Amino acid sequence: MGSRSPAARRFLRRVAIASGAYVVTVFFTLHIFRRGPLHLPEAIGVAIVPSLPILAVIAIVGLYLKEETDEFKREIFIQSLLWGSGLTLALTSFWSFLHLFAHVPGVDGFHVFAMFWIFVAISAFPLARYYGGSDE
Amino acid sequence: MEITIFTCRSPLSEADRRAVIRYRRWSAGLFLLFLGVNYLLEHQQAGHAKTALALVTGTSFFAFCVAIARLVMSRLDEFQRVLMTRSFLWATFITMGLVSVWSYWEEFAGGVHLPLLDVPVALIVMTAVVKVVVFRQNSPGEE
Repeated sequence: MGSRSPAARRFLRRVAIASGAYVVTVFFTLHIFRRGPLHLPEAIGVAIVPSLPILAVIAIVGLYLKEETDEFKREIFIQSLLWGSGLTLALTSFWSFLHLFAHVPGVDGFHVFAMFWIFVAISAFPLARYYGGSDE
Repeated sequence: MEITIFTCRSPLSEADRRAVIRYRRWSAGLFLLFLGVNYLLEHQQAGHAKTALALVTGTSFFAFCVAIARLVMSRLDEFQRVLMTRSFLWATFITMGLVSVWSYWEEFAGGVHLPLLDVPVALIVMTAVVKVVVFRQNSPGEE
């Protein structure tokens, strides 16, 4: 990807930092909870810590959409996000009904965010190809 | 009589009227399918047939969401479509953020379990709420 825009480079750098922070906070939270039970307000406070980098990623996406000057790349990214959202919506609906009626194992809520980004990544490739992009 | 859908206050054109009729037919059919399959699921023993019926239920629910989205998008001009996309992106990220926070609270602090089916429902509700805010902010009177 030699044609990355400055906004895309900033986006990737910020996401890398947020991902690193996510790994650190998950280990931190697990470490705290393994030491022993906490009182409810403390437990809620510590449990929310790993979701802060996730919220940061959301803010980073917003920044990227604001900073990206290449209309085409921004449009591809927006369409990927919409496809990712639609596919996540579809899969969570399918899986919920399978879980309710066919008793397949349930899925934890924090997998939804990961699922969303996997779909965004998957849909970005055919979209770029469809619109004749040369970003790969 | 003037029929209005969401923020579009202009009278329905012939194409819009056809889109509304198509939406009504689809939504009625999908609702009947949803009810019928749910009834069958109640009386079906566990097995492959039940899995297939559960998939049909999920599909009908998703198709209903698609039908609403198609109707809304068909009624919007280019500017409204941009606002709608913006609303949907905001709603997606707010929902994802809330689901993540809730899941960690549930996992580590014994919070109430969040059923997966609540995620798509929350996304739809959030889209409706955010849409009102985004369209109000960008309405001609606010400029």
